[in-house]
Amino acid sequence: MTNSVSPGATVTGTGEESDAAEEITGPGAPRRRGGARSADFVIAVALLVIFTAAFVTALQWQAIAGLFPLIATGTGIALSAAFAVSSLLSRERERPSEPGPASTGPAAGQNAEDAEGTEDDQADADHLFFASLGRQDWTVSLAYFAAFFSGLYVFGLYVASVVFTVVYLRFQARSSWLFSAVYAVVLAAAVYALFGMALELPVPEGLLELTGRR
Amino acid sequence: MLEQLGSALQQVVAPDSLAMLLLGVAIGFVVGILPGLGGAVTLALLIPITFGMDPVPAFSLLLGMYVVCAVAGDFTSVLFGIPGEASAAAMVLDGFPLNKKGQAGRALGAALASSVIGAVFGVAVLTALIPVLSPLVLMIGPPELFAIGLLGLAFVASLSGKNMFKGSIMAALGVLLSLVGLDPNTGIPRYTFGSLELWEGIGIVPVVVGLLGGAELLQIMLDKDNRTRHHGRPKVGGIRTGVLETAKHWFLVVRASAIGVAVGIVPGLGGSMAQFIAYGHAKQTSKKPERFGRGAIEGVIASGATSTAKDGGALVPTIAFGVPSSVSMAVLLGAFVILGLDPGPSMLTDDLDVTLSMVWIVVLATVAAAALGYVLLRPLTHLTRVKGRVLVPSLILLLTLGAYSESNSFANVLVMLLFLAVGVVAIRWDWPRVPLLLGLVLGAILERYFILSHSIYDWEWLGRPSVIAIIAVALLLVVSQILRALRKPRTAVDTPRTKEGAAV
Repeated sequence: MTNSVSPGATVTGTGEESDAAEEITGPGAPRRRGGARSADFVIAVALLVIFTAAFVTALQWQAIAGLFPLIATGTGIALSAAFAVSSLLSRERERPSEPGPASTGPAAGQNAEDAEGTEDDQADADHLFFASLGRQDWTVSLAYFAAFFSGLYVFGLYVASVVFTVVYLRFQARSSWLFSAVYAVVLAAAVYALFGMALELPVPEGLLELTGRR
Repeated sequence: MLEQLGSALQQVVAPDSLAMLLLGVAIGFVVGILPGLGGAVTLALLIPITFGMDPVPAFSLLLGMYVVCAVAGDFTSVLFGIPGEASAAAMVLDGFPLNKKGQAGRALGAALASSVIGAVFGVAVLTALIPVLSPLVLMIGPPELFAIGLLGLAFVASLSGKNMFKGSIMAALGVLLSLVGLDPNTGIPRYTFGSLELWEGIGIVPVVVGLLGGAELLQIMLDKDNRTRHHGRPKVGGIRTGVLETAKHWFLVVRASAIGVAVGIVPGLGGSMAQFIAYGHAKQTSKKPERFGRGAIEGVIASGATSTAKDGGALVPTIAFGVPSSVSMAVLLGAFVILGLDPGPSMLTDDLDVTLSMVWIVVLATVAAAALGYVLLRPLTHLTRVKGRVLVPSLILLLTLGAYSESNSFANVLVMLLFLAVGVVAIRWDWPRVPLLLGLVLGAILERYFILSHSIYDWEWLGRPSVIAIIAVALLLVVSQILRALRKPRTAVDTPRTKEGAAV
């Protein structure tokens, strides 16, 4: 996933969410909106394919098993098809006005209530946050993510969590070796005390079954 | 009745019962804070401990633990954006944004106060309903239950703001996901792709954990500058403000509690749905609905009140008819048999003291949990000052265990990861996530009552006045939302994402 925010609407990373939110309404806003419409169209088409495949599959089942799935997926097909068409039409409508100044700046079409909403808009901040990330941000975090869950699958919870905790805290959170090691041991011990001893619940053992007890 | 209530209170405050109640509160607090490890699972784990106990101490432990889970679940929802309990998922929507603004104390103050009031309201209704239970529950049949489920889906419109279209599609996707697994009527595997792991269907816990919690975790991991976390001291001094705001919004507390009780009382619907209906109602009736999803205190209050009020309602059909209204109540029903009780009319006559003791257990456990929460509030809110990335190892472990513990299967971890990806895509491209969860919860319920209605009445049930009335209310909700959107000036509707319509 790459950053599709236009140059005029990039998040500065200062932590000032309201600033970031206002920036998105700058000169690059229509372009961003056009990108969002394209994404909406792609997602709607993908969902349309899923609903259609599910509908066709449900046709093969006997009536009592397939009746409700047919109604549910039929509704999904109608909704996603209608939304895909509406996204496509919106894109076409917006294209000629793309460079226009009408929607530039926070004042365009924004009443006082909206302005208040802009300041508090945490959901938008989350949306903008993901939009502002570069390829390297994603690569590093997803690599850690993949490493933890691969380790979990092979070595089980305790080994994966101790190794991940030490490496992640030391190299990503810039914590000291001592803090990282103590954190890892305390965390693993807490999980063992709670899940292994008190609740006697199994935890992922991994292919090598290094977790020990079940 | 008052005399019997007094006698029940004496039994609950007896040393052995009180000790069990406090133990239940402690366990419930820990379980509630841990995401994914739900009250139903813990109830099942605790039942063997109650062998040989008298009914009142046994229920003090079981019910006390269960009730507190909902209250404690609000802490993780507000502080980490991860619902500790599925029934606390709606608390994330506004509680966590308030925390990000440095108002964790205010949010938790409101959550605790509304939870206590909700609990008292719930059991007050239970007590009041005892004499009139039989005719009330017998009036509700499968067609009405199906219509009520549809009403729940109609609330998707109000939950999704201007993204009503997207919200409806996500709800349909949730319903589709609920169909995965063996068909309960014919045993045919549906959408399982030949995988045995999918025969039992897709659990709500890994989906909630991945869709809501996982996306938040990834955000913290990606946030090298701590941009998504607030800076400075968390305002724990806001606890009193939160409590006072709850008092100020007393009518909302009453309405949300009433919704919690009403939904809780209906077998099969459960707490996950109650909180979203109450949340949707709070948003619809608010003067500033655009603030919902960004840190509206009314959203916190409605979610908090419903999370405990639903338990009073859920106990009604469980006690009176032996019909569990949720998974947790089904587990609790098992305890009745083990303890030598016969759920049904005898619980309202011969064993009325046990029934009334449950009223006190719910009230006392909630008050104890609120007091414990108040004491622990300061240290817990200090956790928000910790650099985001330091929390990552703990959070990734909680998410993993939460997803895994539902059925002790690694497949659930993979489901969690899949929905984490869905959650990130949803946030990035502004697709609401909650309707998907609602569709997943309601899908199985809707199908069950749809097939039942169809089997019993063919298509005639669609003409029943009660069904028509409930579906009319659902349609009215959708139409009112459309009209509301149309009434807004074209410019406001078309303005970019930053103006309104937080995706929830």
